[in-house]
Amino acid sequence: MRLLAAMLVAFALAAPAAASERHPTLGELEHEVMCPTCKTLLELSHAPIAERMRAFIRGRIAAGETKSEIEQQLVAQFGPGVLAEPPRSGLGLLAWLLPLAGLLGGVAVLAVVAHRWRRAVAAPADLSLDADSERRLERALAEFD
Amino acid sequence: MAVAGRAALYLTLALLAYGATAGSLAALRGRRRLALSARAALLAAFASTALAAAVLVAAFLRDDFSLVYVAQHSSRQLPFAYTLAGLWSGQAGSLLLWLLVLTGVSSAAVLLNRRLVADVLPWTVPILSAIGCFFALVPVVVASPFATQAAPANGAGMNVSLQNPYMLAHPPLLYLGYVGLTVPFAFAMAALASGRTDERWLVASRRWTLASWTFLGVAILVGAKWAYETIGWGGYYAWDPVENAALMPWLATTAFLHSVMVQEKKAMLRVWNVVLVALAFCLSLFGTFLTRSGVINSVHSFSQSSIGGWFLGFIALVAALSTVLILVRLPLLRSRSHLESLASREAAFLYNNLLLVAFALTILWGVAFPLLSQAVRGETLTVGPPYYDFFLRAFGLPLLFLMGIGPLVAWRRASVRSLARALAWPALAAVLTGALLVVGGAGSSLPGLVAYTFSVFVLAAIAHEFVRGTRARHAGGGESWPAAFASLVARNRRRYGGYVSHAAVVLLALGITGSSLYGASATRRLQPGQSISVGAYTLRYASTTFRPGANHDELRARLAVFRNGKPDGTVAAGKNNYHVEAFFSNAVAIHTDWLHAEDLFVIGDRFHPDGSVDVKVVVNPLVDLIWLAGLVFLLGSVVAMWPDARERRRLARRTDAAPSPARLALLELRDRALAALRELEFDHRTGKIADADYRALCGPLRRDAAEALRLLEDTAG
Amino acid sequence: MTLAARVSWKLSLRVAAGGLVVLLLVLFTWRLVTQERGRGLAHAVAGGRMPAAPDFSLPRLNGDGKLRLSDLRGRVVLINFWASWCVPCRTEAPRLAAAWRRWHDRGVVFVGVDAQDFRSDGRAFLRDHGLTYPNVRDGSGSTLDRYGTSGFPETWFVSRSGRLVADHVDGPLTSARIDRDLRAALAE
Repeated sequence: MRLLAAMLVAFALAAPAAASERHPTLGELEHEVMCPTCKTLLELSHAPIAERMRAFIRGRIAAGETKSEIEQQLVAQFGPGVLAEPPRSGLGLLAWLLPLAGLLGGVAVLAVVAHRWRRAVAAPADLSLDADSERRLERALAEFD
Repeated sequence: MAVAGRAALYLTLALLAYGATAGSLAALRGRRRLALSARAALLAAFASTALAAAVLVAAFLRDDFSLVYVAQHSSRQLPFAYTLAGLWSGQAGSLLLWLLVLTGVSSAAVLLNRRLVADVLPWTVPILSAIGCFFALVPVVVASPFATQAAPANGAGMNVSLQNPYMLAHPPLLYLGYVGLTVPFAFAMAALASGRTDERWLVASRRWTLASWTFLGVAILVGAKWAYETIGWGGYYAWDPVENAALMPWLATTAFLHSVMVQEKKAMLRVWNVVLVALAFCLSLFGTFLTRSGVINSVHSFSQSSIGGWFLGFIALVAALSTVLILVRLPLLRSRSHLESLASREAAFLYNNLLLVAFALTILWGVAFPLLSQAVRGETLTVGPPYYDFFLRAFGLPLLFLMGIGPLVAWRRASVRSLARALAWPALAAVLTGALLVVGGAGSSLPGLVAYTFSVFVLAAIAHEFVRGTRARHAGGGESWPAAFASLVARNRRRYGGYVSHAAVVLLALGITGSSLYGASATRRLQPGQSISVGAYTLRYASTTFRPGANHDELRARLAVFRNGKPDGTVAAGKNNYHVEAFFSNAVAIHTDWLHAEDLFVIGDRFHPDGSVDVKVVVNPLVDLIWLAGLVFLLGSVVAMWPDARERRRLARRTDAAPSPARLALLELRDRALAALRELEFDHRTGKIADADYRALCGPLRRDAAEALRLLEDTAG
Repeated sequence: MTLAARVSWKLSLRVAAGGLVVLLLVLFTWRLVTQERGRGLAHAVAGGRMPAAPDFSLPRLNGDGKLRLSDLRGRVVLINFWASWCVPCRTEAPRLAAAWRRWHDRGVVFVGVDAQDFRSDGRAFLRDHGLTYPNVRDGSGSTLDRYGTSGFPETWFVSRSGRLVADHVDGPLTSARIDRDLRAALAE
């Protein structure tokens, strides 16, 4: 259980580290920005505005801007919905936290329930069987197919 | 003709309404003949729906454009095979196909379980009929496929992206999956309504659940393949709401298929299982709602119509009724045994359920969140692929890990000793592979490295299970190796079929990891003679060709491919121009290199008047494992679903004498303990369970079995 | 744990789950209703029902501050949805410029809504086509849903009392159509 939680945290942290902030590529940004008219990722879109956005991003990259600077400019133009994931602040944080809270809640419920169940399991009684039962059981086992 | 179709639809509605009312009355009052008439009505509804569907298909074949639906979705130029697909290329026809599958599946489920339905679960027929009623009501009232008009000279043609062999298969498979989930739901609710919450509903619905799950899974993969080949951006899954719509019930059903084993082996989680069945069904309805209502912007959404409200109302009704039913019957569902240790197979199943359900609900939350932001702040926030990818990693990787450990952990209580013994080989294989991968340069992505390592771990664990089991059979029974392998699988089809399905999921994980984390791409405007390089590949643009076709023209850029400087054939990527539909579609080139397990994916994007062309090239490592996963997945399901004569005998012995509920519970207890003892003995023999653990685990099982046997003998006498 | 505590613990879990389900259903119902309202607008206008024009307040593209539609009450308004990347909008623009010269002093206002577009592109479009009437910018396209707009250009006519009249025009306007519908709107 603890292992599971540790793993969750590790993966969650590892995920965003991959993208390069200082020197973004068009491909990276195309994967993080939506096409406003078609509601798909920019990389999927051939709409005119998508071509225009690609040209804009190329220009910004050439001007040496960072990824978040470019994204901020796109937000200023098209609103926060242009980013493919909700912001990790304000209302957007709720989108991220609820699933994690749900999972943690699930773990808590499981822990409580398991604790109670284990208490409910009676202490191991005498497990030896009398000869009669033993015979019956062996016969049933042999017949059981 | 249209009149006949419309009449058949009305008849279906009437028959299903009768089935629902008469069936309910019969179940309440215990009237057998009334129940039989309700069942007959359900079967007849299938026949009349089939008639309606036949009328529509005939109209497509005859190019009968006096039907609005046919005129909107076909044309005289449309190739024959695709006129058949006309049935599901639009809203109204899809609903008709839906109804056809629903009545068909319902009829089959009721017929194949005739005795059970008649004697134990009389509520099955009215519940199935009532659900059918809703699906008949929608095409009758809101979206009729049989609306007529003065026939135009030609139809508008079919949506071009649907003119693809995968789209011939995808929708029917998807419907089989979605609709199939109705059967376990109906059996579960019938068991609750009839107060018969023993295991029979589970056993009766198990294959239906497995089949729907398989169809749903295969449909998702076929859809992914379709997206890969026709949408043409180099990917295969875009976390589009309509794609998510199928994934949610699939995940919930996956959780159910696992937790149901806990109920069978330990009589635990009885409430949870009923909740999961209801959840899976509601999610399948919700998926339909998303697909059909156009409520969310999606690439796939059908022309909008006003059926959204109908579906939403129905979902609310189903959710409310099943909640009430579960709450009322809660006392009947009380568990008879408990979790003994957090390190046990049943606990592993619980973790698995937690992650799967959390993932399914996260996707649901992601679909709903933009609406919430719009409602609260008047500003729509997007929940797109990066969000889902994050949670795929956060929930998917632990799931992958559990998939390796779970099958190796003993039921009830696992000891460190047994666990270490079971995990040693797979862990060693995983660590070695991980080290090799780091040396090979896969360390560029940490999640990727973890996913690869876990995948190897799981595959090794599965292979170890097969090897150990076969060896024990070979040693014990003196069978030849192939015979030992065959009998190993045959004697526990669900276990080994399950392992095969696990292997499919690992292949899927490998394919997703490779293509999404280790791929490369480049874009360039090429003049003839110029080249573009990606990874080991260089492509030289030779020329552009134009070829007129039957219902479309083909414009292609031809490129010579070189891998590490050596010629590797040519590819042609470009566009198709469809005449009637007045639509351009991408015609990408996919060059599969089996030896290096990667795809070269070439998109001819824009053709300029000066003869140059914008080319995008993507290298997708391991992507073909995803399609292979589909085949393995299918194999696993077939193995698990294959009729098991031994199991049927056991069940017949248990229920043939029509025992009282109390006696049936004892019989179930006895069989459960005996089966567990048998399995434990085999696992001990294979070396999976250490001697000391074997003795410790046997004790309580032997006591349970002996106790049940004694009580049975007492009550019989 | 006492029995009461245990019951309330289970109960609160159930209430939370139920609450989430209800929240989802309410959200989707709300979405359906607002969406239907937008999509139904064209139908309502065509049926002569004169629904109220959905209000908006958006930053001006050619000028400072914001423009609120309801502030234009008392005048007839032509609302034109467009974007610089939209090809038919280019065909339409000279007609709109000419119409504005004919109509601007006759109790009529034109309002262009430049949606899902770069600000600089929008301004360049206005300059190139000599469009001088008020234009606003809706970068995220939030008004489109409320008007049920599916593509550009699209035009609506608002009466002096703020109701949608005449018929909405899907696709590029013709001069004759502008004149006819504005006259009809003035007559309301």
